[in-house]
Amino acid sequence: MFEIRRSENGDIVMRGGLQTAHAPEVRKLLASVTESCRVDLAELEYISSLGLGALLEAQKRLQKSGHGLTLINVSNHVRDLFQLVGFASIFDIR
Amino acid sequence: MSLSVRIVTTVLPVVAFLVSLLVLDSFKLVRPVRLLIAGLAGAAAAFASLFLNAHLQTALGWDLAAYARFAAPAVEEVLKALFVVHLVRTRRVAFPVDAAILGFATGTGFAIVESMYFLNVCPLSPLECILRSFGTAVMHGTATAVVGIVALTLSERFVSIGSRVLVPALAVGYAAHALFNLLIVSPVLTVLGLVIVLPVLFLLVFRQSDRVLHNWLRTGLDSDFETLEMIDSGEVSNSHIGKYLAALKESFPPEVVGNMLCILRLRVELSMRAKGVLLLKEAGYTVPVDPEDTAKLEELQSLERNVGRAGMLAMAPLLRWRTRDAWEHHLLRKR
Repeated sequence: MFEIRRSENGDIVMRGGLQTAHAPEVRKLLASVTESCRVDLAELEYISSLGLGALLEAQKRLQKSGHGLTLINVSNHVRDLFQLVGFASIFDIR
Repeated sequence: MSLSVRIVTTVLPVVAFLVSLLVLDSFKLVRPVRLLIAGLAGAAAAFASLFLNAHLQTALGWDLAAYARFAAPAVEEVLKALFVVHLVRTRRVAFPVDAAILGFATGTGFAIVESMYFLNVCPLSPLECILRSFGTAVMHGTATAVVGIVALTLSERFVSIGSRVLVPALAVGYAAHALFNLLIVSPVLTVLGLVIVLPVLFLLVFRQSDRVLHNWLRTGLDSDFETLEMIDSGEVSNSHIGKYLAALKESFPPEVVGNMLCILRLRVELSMRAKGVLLLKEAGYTVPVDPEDTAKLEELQSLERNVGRAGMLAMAPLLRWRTRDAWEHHLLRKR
């Protein structure tokens, strides 16, 4: 199961396992982001390569206008994955 | 119309098509320098063909028409294929679209030299000569692209490159070339046919290549991460990798078996990094060579030397399915 939504404070919250099939949903929500935004990954259990691609795509677009995504509450599992694929320097991970 | 204008008119659309292929490739895995080398390899193949064809025709005693239809395509396709097959053999290409682009570049280099020669001796009207030469240029590019795609696809199925890969790949290139030579009745119709067929063919290749790449990224990244977690968590001894390595302890000293596990871990780590580079490239990031990756590649080489040839052969069943490792290492060394 996977869920992505905007919280009351404007953060993007992802929950569950971000499988390949969920990538269009993630892309759609991220496409609506036009300014710097926090992405809460506290309850993200898994992220597929297409999910990573969707985050990268949004980050690249936002960085062009001086903005960016900040990943917060990142689990060790997801943090390791970001480090291993070399995305740790692309995102602000807290 | 001067010869140089005729050559440019012939070759320019083919070069423009090649450039458009490069632009359309979302992962940009073909480096411009390699494209240039492919073009030069094609040009060298054309010079060699001119020489070989002249001698072989005399030796066989065939008339020019029969030689051009049946023997010349074989000579030319083999010579054009050398560079692309070398790239496939050394795992410098890993996806159909890259094999297609580099094959087309080789064919284009060949066609540039050939059109210089052909347009100089063409007995037809200037327009007919240009159309015929253009058709031939497109055919050369396409035939070598197809050879590259078939060779790559079969090399992944059979893991290595041998006659099971080379014969079908060259046969398809030869068939395309010989068919073109047989059917070239009207230059206008031929060019029209190619203009319709070629974009469709490459569109299909791009789609298929994209599917292969994304599928590989998806499944590869997941399984790499699982393998890495398994190794790091110490649960490896219960897995098929652990059981296989334990069996090797009977034949190799413990430190060598330990190094084998390090090799496997490092390969998986580098593989994940390469997949990350691909994702970054797809998103439009420029990814410079990372000194950390270079250091890991050096460490891997050192470990592989330490394990030795016999050790690496013993590890083969564990690494056999990792057919793109060598290509990934090229990617990490040179973007």
